[in-house]
Amino acid sequence: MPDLEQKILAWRRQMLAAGITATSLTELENHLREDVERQLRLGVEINDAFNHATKTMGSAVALKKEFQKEERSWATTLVSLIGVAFLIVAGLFSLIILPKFFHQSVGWMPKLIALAIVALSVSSWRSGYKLLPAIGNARLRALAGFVSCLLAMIWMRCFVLYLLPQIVIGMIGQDQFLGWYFLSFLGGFATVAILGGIGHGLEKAAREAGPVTD
Amino acid sequence: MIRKELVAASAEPMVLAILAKGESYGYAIIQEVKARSAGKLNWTDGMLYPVLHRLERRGLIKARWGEGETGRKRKYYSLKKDGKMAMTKHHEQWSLVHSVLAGLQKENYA
Repeated sequence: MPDLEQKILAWRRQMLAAGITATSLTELENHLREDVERQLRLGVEINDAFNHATKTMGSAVALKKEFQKEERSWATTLVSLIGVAFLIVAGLFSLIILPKFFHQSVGWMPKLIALAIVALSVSSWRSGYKLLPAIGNARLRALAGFVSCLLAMIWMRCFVLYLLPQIVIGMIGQDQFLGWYFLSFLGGFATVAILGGIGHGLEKAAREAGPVTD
Repeated sequence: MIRKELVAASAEPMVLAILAKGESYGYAIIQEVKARSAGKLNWTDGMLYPVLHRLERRGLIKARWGEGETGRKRKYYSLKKDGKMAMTKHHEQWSLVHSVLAGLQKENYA
């Protein structure tokens, strides 16, 4: 059936142009052929069989979008790891600061705020990905994660160099100075944890997302 | 026709349950789902493969290239131990949803 072969070849080109990898395409092509053959056995005309098979297969763009969620490049892996590193650093520092903070004679309000901040950091790591979009395009995903990690670094620098000295100047001499000082640190690290959590979570969100159906 | 969100959510447990019966491949899996649902669970066929690849990456199923009846290269998938556990977990969750709905329906029509 040279006509069918021509059609399949054109379909293959379309899939490859959309960016479907050769290995995945082998599976998809086998599927397409089996579907066409089954219809031909039922007496369906060849053009109708092919058109029906390609329609039920799904469009090249929609398929690529789904496959991309599974593709991991060195860039997405690296960004995800950087995100994890930020989470670990923020988590460790929070763990060191938290007992020191609770030793200070601060009111219940700052203590509640501190607990809320730590809970926020932990949930950013554990379930932050559930709130993030599943970006199918691996390059775009890596870029978004990278920007988030970059923001975490910029934030850390600004926090230590500019924000923290301001807080110290503003609070010095006050009763609960050390308590508020430690609380500021917790807040600073929570921001790092959230931004790092986005870097890591974007990758997880893409992987955990279910299939899209037309 | 079943809503697309439900189709998407049921894809993973469905694939795991089919593979629990034995090794299979993409086209056969789709055909089985269609046959068992009398064509009401309509997948966009190609979307099955990212699901299979995801399950494979997560270590729930394994794949091997073999040869089909026509001599064509075919990728066969089979369930791994972790996949069996994941299937049981899925089954428990879906059973719970089903029993809640069935109980409510029974009361509503009582």
